[in-house]
Amino acid sequence: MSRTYLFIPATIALATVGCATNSLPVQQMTAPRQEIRAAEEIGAASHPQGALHLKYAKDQVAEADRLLKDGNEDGAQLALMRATADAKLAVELAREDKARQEALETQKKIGELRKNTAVAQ
Amino acid sequence: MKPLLFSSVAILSAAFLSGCAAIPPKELLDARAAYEKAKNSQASSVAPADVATARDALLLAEKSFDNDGDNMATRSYAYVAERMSERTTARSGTLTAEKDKEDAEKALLDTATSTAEGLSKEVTQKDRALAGAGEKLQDERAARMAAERKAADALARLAAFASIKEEPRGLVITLPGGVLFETNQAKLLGTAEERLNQVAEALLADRDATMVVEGHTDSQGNDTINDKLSKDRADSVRDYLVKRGVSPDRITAVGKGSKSPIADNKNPEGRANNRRVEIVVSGRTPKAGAKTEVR
Repeated sequence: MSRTYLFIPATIALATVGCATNSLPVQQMTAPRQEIRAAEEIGAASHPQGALHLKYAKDQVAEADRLLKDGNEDGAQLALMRATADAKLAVELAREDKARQEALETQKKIGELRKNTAVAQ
Repeated sequence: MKPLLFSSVAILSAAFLSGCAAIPPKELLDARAAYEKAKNSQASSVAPADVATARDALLLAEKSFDNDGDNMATRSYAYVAERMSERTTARSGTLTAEKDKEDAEKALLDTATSTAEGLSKEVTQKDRALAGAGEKLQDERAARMAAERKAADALARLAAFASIKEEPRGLVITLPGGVLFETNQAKLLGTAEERLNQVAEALLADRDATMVVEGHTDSQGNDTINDKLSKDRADSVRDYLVKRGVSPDRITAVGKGSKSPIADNKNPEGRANNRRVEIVVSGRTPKAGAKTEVR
């Protein structure tokens, strides 16, 4: 009877340890992946600097997976943190590029309109 | 501004202190440089919250370096801090570009509006000019039609006491001598003036016409007297028409004497017909219907 009571906590303890060694909190695992998706959606891959940081982000997510397999949770956590920072930077670089392009296009339109008006008159 | 300056000092002194313990890793040096760049960019004014976040990230890296020296965690925090500073610089670029775009859109709208206004003003002016020209044309046409009608009326009334004929030499209005003058006199009768008024009215309508007033007598009496009488009578009629407004440049008078009879001088009736004044009108403006649009 007393053996049975001892066995249950031991099982629970093992299960808990198993969880801790094989994965990180869900939020830490998903955050970089979400940022990578956002960067891809905004077209970071077509912007040289954006593409570079997008690649860094993906590489470090892969590295985190590898480190987790090796049981290096701390290392994985840091890699995921770096991956998130790179993906976020990729998003902003793409956004900046897009905003600059749009501003230039609008300015070009003014030039064209003024030119056409001058021709018309 | 002050808290930022204070924190810069704090970061520098932290760096100095830690410098004694260990050499900062490349990631931390890069992070510091990136933060300086972000702080000195337009980000400080357009995205101050992002600058503050980047500063916190750098402080975290500095703290890790102070406490634990150069290790994976310190390098990772520094790596993240560098990206956050770069992201802040990019964010300031985004906001500036968005502002530029907004300004350009406003300018585009202004340009488009002023262009449209200019074009509409031009169209309005042209419309107005066209309407004015149309009105003038209509007025002119109405005036011409009124003048023509008046001339036609006057000619119709003339027909009551004068004969009117189109001949190769022009429109010939023949006024019987008895209607205008006493026998052997060149002075117009009172009743004649009333009739010549109608002649003047018919002739005034056409400003292009030129007229020759011809005096004619019958064959009685000698030519010298007849020639003079016919010339004097023609002059009387001419002078009267000029008095009624016919331009003197357009009207001349000649005395034909008895040389151009239109009837037999042997009987009184024929002689009465030969005593006459003819007004030959030539160079008239063609009727409106026959007129071409070329001026």
